[in-house]
Amino acid sequence: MEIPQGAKVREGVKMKLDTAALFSSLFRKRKSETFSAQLQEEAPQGRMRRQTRHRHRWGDVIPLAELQPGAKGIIVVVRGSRKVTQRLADLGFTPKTTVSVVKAVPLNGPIEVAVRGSRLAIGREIAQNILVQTKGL
Amino acid sequence: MSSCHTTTAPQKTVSKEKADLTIALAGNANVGKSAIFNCLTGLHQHVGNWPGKTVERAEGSLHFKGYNIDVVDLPGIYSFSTFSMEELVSREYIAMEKPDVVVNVVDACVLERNLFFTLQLLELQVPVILALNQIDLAKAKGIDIDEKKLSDLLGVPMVSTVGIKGIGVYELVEQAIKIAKGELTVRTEEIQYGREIEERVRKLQLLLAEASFSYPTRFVALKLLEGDDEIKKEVQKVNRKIVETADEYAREIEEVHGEPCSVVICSERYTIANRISSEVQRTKVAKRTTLERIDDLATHKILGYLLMVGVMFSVFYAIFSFGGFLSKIISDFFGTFKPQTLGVAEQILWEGVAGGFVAAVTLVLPYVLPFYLLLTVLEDSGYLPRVAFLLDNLMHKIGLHGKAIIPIILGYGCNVPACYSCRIMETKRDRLTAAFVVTFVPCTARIIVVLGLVAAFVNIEWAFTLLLIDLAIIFVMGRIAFKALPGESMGMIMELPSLRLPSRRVVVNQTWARVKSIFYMVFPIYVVGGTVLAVMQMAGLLKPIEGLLAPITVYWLELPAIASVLLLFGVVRKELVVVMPAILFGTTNLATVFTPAQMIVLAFITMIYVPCVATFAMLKREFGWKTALYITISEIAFAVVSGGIFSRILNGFWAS
Repeated sequence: MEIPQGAKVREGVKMKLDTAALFSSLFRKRKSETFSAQLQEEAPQGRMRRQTRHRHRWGDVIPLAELQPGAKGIIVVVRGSRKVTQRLADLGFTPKTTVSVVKAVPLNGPIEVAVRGSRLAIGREIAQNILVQTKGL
Repeated sequence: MSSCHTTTAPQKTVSKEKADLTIALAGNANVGKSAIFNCLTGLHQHVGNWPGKTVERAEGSLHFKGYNIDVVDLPGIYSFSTFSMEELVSREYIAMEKPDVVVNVVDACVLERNLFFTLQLLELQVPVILALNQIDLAKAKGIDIDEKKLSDLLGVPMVSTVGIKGIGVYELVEQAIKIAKGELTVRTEEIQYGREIEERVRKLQLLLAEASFSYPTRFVALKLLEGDDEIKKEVQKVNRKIVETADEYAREIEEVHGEPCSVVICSERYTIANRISSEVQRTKVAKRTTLERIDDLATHKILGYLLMVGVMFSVFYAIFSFGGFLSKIISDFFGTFKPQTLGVAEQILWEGVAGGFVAAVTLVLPYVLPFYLLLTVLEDSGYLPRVAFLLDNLMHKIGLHGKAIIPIILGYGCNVPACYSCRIMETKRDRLTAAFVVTFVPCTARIIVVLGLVAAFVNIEWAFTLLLIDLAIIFVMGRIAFKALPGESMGMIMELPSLRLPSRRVVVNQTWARVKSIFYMVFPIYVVGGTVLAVMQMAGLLKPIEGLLAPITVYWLELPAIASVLLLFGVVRKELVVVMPAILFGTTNLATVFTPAQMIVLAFITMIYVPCVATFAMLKREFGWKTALYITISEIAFAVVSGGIFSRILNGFWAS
């Protein structure tokens, strides 16, 4: 009889932790400045210096995925596997290029991006790794 | 300017005699290469408004002013890196086979990105002609291009074309001949990169000078800096040192620019492309066209989905109602012919040949014709990439991304080209998952079985229910494959081409090409299949087969014994399941042979039990024997198990 009771208690604890994590993640997502801090945490040692420099020169960077439809941004850096970054570069996503979000499918769907006169559909997970800055346009 | 079909005499077959010159068509995806190819050769290479249709090179030939010209249609690519098969195929073709002229088809609406490719093509040091295509669309968008200036800046001859209408294609061939004859020289001046890159390229070129490659040394040097694996391998064979030096140089460039070397080179290329395009291109602010408004609607976050459901529903409704109407007219017409009493041999022939033919004409053609017509319209309009955009989320649930919806939709036409088009997926795992899912998509053949058995003799609601059940199966199977298959997946990166009004010429040609294959390839199968069946019936071969499979068909699936024979024939072509009973029983009223529940179960099993022979062959070609067999066996097992359960549920339903 004791064992199920114990399990119940543990479940309750787990639930509590999850909601706390959820709240903090929601809160974090709204603040764009924490993103660059996050970025530095994630960045491998060798690239640290570069990211910091970008921050000084251009101000804060946010993922393309977080731009509202109609908004523009200048590409700072494209992260991801070699295959993805090369593909994006070939399609015109090179640093200092101005891109604009045309449409976004809700619920983390893909975004439609205008770049160099063409329209591309980009999955949200990839757009999350295209970092843009919105100042200095 | 004149239409190509009147000015050139297309030769349908590739002639044995050696061609006088070879023209290769190269360029970005979806710029109209295949349209120009079709125009030149009179062939019916697949065209449509979505990127990635041509995955292998196609060849054709034409006779023009006494010249035998070979035309090669290369798959559409954005660059010459080797991260995708198509890019490698195109690059190797141009470098190794050395076509006399490369026609670089350029989309006038997206000049900058297209020029990015042109610059790389020039680096391969081949004679290039620019075909500035879709000039009419560009004008409508308010884009005005100074052709003379563009031609001068690049140093290559240029022709403006409208591929789907055949405008400018005549001049294109004339220019190509002039170049091949040496009457027109093409400048081979290289584009210049930044100092840091140029210095190192020159040093590498000196190192490379001793060996000979199939590519120009400057191209090899640049690709070494970009870290191209294929080129590295080739150079490594000659001198390991050079590769190490190149890697060192690439690191130095990365230090200076703070970007990987390949990105730096890409950036500089784009800078040049941008400079050229902004110099030759004037953009007026054009009024928003109706098509652009439709585009807004098509990708709208709510209305887009409504439109999509509406389009899909109307397509099926149109096929069902129009097909049924047409089928009835034709079968009434054939009903007037009654076979007279004949001898044994004549009877076999009559039942096989005439029965097969009549069944094909009355059951198959009326549905296939409108379906292919509408599918071509959808493809040519550019609507499919919009659907892919909207359904990206849904496709993620089965581990794929939005692009996978394109093979699935094509699968409703025929699984074979649909499996082939799975090549638009980037990774092997995605291609396999997509192809596996596609084999569950009811192609026209299976829809005909559903219509011929269920809609005709039970009711239309059950036919729709079956199609919906199949949709659920597609989803569940995709989900299982997603969990079971190892490997990585890449997110969606897809061009959204401009919507356009489908060209009447393209739609008619494509539909005809597809329907024609039914006349040439499928009708003979019905006739042969019908004859074989009739002979087997005479020889008394059907009973042993029925007996052998009775435990499955009769006891587990609760079908009449003859179902085993039908399903065996269905492996060849799924429609045979509904065509054969007409031959066997001499009646098209199948209600005398099957109960309603049996018809539904038979149609259900036909939809999922096995990929047909042609699809199997395509699976084998794309993924190998083992995978094709795995897919087939798992589908048979799944169909048998679920079919039996389904039959019991149905019988319970009918009893109550």
